[in-house]
Amino acid sequence: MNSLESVLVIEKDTNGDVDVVWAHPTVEDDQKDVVLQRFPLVNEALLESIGQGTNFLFSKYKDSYVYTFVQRNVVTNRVENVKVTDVGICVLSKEFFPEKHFDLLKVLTEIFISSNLDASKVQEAYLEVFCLGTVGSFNADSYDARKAKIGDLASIVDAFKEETVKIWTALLLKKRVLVYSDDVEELTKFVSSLPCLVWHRQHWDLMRPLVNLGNKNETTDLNVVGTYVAGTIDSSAQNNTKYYDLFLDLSNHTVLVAEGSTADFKLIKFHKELAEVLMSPDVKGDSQKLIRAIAVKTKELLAKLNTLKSNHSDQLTLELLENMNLNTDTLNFLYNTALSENMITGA
Amino acid sequence: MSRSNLSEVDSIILVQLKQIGIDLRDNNGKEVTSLAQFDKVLLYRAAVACVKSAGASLQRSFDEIPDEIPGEMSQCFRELGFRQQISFDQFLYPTEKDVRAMLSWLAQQAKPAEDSEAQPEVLDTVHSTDRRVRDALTHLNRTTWTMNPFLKFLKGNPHLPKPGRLVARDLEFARKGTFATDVVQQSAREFASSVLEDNAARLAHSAILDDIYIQEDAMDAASRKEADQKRSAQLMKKVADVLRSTHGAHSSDNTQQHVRMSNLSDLLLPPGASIHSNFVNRIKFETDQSVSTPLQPPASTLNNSESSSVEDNASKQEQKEQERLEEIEKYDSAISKLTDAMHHFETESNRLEQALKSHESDLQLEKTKKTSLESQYKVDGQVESLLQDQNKIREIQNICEKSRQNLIKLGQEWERHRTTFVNRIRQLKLDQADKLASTKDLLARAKRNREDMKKLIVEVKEKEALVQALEQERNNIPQGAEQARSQYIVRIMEIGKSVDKQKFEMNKILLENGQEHSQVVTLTQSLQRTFRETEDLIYKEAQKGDESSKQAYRHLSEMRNLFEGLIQGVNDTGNTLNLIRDLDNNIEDLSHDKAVLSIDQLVQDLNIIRNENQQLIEQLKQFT
Repeated sequence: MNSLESVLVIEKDTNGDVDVVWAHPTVEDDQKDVVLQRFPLVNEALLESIGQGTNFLFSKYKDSYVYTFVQRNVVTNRVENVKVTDVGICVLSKEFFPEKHFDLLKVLTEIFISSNLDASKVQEAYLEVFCLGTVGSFNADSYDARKAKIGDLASIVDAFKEETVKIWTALLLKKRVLVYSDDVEELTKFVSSLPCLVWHRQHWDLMRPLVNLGNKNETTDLNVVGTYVAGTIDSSAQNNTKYYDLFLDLSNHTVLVAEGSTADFKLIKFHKELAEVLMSPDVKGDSQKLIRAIAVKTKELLAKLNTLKSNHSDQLTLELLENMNLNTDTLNFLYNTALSENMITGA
Repeated sequence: MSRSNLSEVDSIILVQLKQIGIDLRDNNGKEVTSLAQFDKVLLYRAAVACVKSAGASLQRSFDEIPDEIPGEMSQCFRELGFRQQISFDQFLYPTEKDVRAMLSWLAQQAKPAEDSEAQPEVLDTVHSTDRRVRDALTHLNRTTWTMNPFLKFLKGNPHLPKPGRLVARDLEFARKGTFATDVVQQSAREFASSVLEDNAARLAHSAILDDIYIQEDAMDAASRKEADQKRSAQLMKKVADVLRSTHGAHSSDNTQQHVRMSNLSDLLLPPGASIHSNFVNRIKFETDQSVSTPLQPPASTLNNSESSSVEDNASKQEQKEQERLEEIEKYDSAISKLTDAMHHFETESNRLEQALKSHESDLQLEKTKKTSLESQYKVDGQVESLLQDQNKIREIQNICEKSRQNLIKLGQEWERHRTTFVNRIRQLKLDQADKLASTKDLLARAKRNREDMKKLIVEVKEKEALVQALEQERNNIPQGAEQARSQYIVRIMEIGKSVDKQKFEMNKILLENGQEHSQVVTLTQSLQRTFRETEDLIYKEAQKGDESSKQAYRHLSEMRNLFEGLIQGVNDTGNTLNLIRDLDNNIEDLSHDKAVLSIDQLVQDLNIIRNENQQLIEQLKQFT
């Protein structure tokens, strides 16, 4: 399981201090800062938004997915070290597969607690899984990586109805999408499902399931990546218009287009057709069918553009589109789509 | 505002007040020349006159306002819309600033007296002309600007000066009361149309034309131009027809007709366009005038030379206007081209910006991919080279395993150190927290102690003050009273001592009594036991059947009964004696009390105490 990058052991002691007490092999300072900021025992807002019984979180920072597992009140269980109250294990990985890492973290946490908080045992287990792919009851080979990519599109369509086409447009045109929810579990699940809307790209790295817009490292990361689908639990994020082109509120199921991007979200006939496909009873409630239907519809659009390009000596320019006597909204949409798909051959 | 500006404002206000018909003379009969000279009487008179005049213009009568300053004056001001502070203070204690503000507002609100007889004779002819012109313009402004009423008005009003330009700014001048007669009388040609007017006129004109184009569905430029010309011809013909039907008979002079036509052309425009586009439309009208034959006067009525010069002028003017129109059209097309280009560039710039962003994002993604692929490639390359040799694989596996073991060992070693360090740090933090808590506790205690100390200091000070006051009081007490008091204290102390002694004696007696009582109880118990044993013995003997024993037992029981009776008697005697003793004691106490309660002595003591109290009250009064 060589997608693993590092493991961090976090403890909260009786003094109320939370710190990374062990890291293997190494983590950068900014990574450590972000991991701690996203650790529920440090981030009070996160702690409040976590539902009862939820002790697993995943997010992304730079190129690494951050998986965190928290075990609270360990002193009351089986630990002799009375100075520690709560523990957490965090794994940084290149792979997006929450279910798999949840199981791995459960095993690592169990080892850590059963060894009376001996972090060297965690390191040993980490090395074992890194080299051999198995540790305890965990076996990396028993997971199908394709399953991780199938997001819950059905719940997205169910929540946003026809407005889903705006979300699709944002992703197709490589716009910045910011999602707000007061339930972090729902938020991370939702954000990780969004890349399925542009299945043809197979691009999951744009997701940032949980960000804190008050942290400089995280905002820098967002600025560097440029195009992203980010989630936040900060209710005031809607006012932070410089970080999004499209804002989604999961609590109220509302979609807000940023003032400067309204021209790019003008809906045309194609959007109407796509909305009909999304709301069709054949695909209702079935995420896989929805993904397939959207991918087919998107490929139709891209095929048209490709045909146009091939008919004009493999050239696709704005002038060419303008000469087709299309209306402004359609022209904009087609040009932006071609631009996002790197089809434009001249400015 | 500078002083000179203020004096100008003052002079304007004074003129306006005079126009309203107010006699601006003070108590001495001198005419006031500035607002600073206004006294309360003159101010009030001016205010009342203005209020009445303003009320009359609004069809409200304020005749009930008396000569005295009325209470409802401020209400009148409020009704008329005066926004500043208004009260009796402004009239009773007028300041120059208030007077200026109030009269400036009042003079604007008030309508000048219409009756010319009520005007002061000092008004010159210029003022009267101004007023007439203003009245005429106000009338025109209030009535609908249609052709026939306006011409009727021109014909029927003998006071109206020669026809002049009735442009919007002149009307504005007239409304503001600063109408300039010479401006009215100037020819329309002497006015240069402003840039705004030109632009507005062009916009209005083009809007009208656009409507027509849309109606006629003429989208190409050639047909637009034709439609424009057609429309202009139709419009001018219509205007000429109207003018000929209403005023054609009176136009004997060609020049006069030309001037009048140029003036009236402004009025033919719709109300919205008349203010803004009068110049341009007039020019068009004039341009087309020479073409429209009905407007040409009959040749027989004109002098040949005059008619030729007029024709020359008209053709020159037409040419100029044509040139001007062409130039304007050229500029218009240039501006529209520039606007289109700007819009195009803006859209282009937005698109390029978006493309740039998209490319940057893609570039970043590609860089990431490249880095990971490079590292993957390196690893794969090395793996491939190593996979060719099975021994090397085993060797690598061994190295990996060894490294893993080494790392684990290192980790365990580090864990031992780490645990110690972490525990020490946590302990130190805990100690620190404890110390902090204890320090806080100490601090809190110190604070409490300090508060207690402060309280104690206050108490000590109070007590010291009390001691001093008492000492002072004691020093102030007369000597005799002090002696009497000390005697009482000595007596009380002696009584106390004797009471203590008596208590001690009583305690001793009580102790002895207790001891005696216990002895008696012991003796009684031993006697009872002895008696019981004796009784048992005699009873046992009597049961044996011995008569003497039986007799003895009978005697014994009899004796016991007798003794019980004796004891009862003794008890009764004791109780009686106790009662007697108690009664004796009571009698003794009563007799003693009687002896002690000497009324005379009590009265004497009471008097002494009263005297003392009196003295103390006097001392207290002296202190207070």
